[in-house]
Amino acid sequence: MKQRAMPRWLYILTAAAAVAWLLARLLGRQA
Amino acid sequence: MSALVSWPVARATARERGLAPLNLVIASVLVLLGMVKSSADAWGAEAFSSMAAAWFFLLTLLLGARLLSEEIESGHAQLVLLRPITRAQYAGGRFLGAAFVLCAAGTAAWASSLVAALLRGGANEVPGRILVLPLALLPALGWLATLLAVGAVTSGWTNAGILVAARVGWFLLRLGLPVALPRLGLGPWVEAIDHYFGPQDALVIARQAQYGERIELSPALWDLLWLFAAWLAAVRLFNLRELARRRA
Repeated sequence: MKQRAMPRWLYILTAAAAVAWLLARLLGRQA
Repeated sequence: MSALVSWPVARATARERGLAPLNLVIASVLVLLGMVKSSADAWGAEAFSSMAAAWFFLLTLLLGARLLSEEIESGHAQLVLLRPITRAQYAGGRFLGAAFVLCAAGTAAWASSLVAALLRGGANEVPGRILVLPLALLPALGWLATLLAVGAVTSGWTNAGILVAARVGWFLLRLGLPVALPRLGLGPWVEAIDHYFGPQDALVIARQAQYGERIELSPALWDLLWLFAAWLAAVRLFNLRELARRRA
């Protein structure tokens, strides 16, 4: 196991949060 | 998911931070404030608004200060990392341990205001009050992750110092710039940037739900994004750090 491996889940969670936030912004602007 | 966190590290951190006398004192003050301030129009945010908000931020600061540097400087981190865990798991464990203490203190303060509300017969406030808890904890966790990220590259208490300086500095700048340079019309710009300066107050969502207004979820989602982005940055920076101790 590489000690400095980056956890894939952290990227996935960050990307998911970014998408959710962007969607909320876009939908909020439309309404 | 276990690539994110080492649970033994998280447990040890929660025990260490949760049993620190100063943290316990602040948590008790929060519980008392929650109970004393309890009122119907606070919709459950007693322990997280006005004076209590300052205490809650102080607790966040104390929990996040030296979160990594303390262990690196004592040589404890280096010892723990001799075991087969990644640096990401170690940093995640430190973060989640402190986050657990923060959530426990916040929940205790929130619960005391809930009990006070029930005692004065405010049972109809309960649904609104339940919504407040996650919304109050989310920005605090965002600030804690920020402390972790700054602490991945700084020593001692510097991470807490930088965070306080950044918040106070931005506060003064936000108020001062438009007044100092009125001709440039900086006011709207500064306000726009302010919506992205750190985790945002998500309690407005509870208020919107309470008064039946249109619910704007984006502040809470921004906090979530900030939380994970800061965590990611923390792991990345911690991976780059040289942990071998050198004599000065």
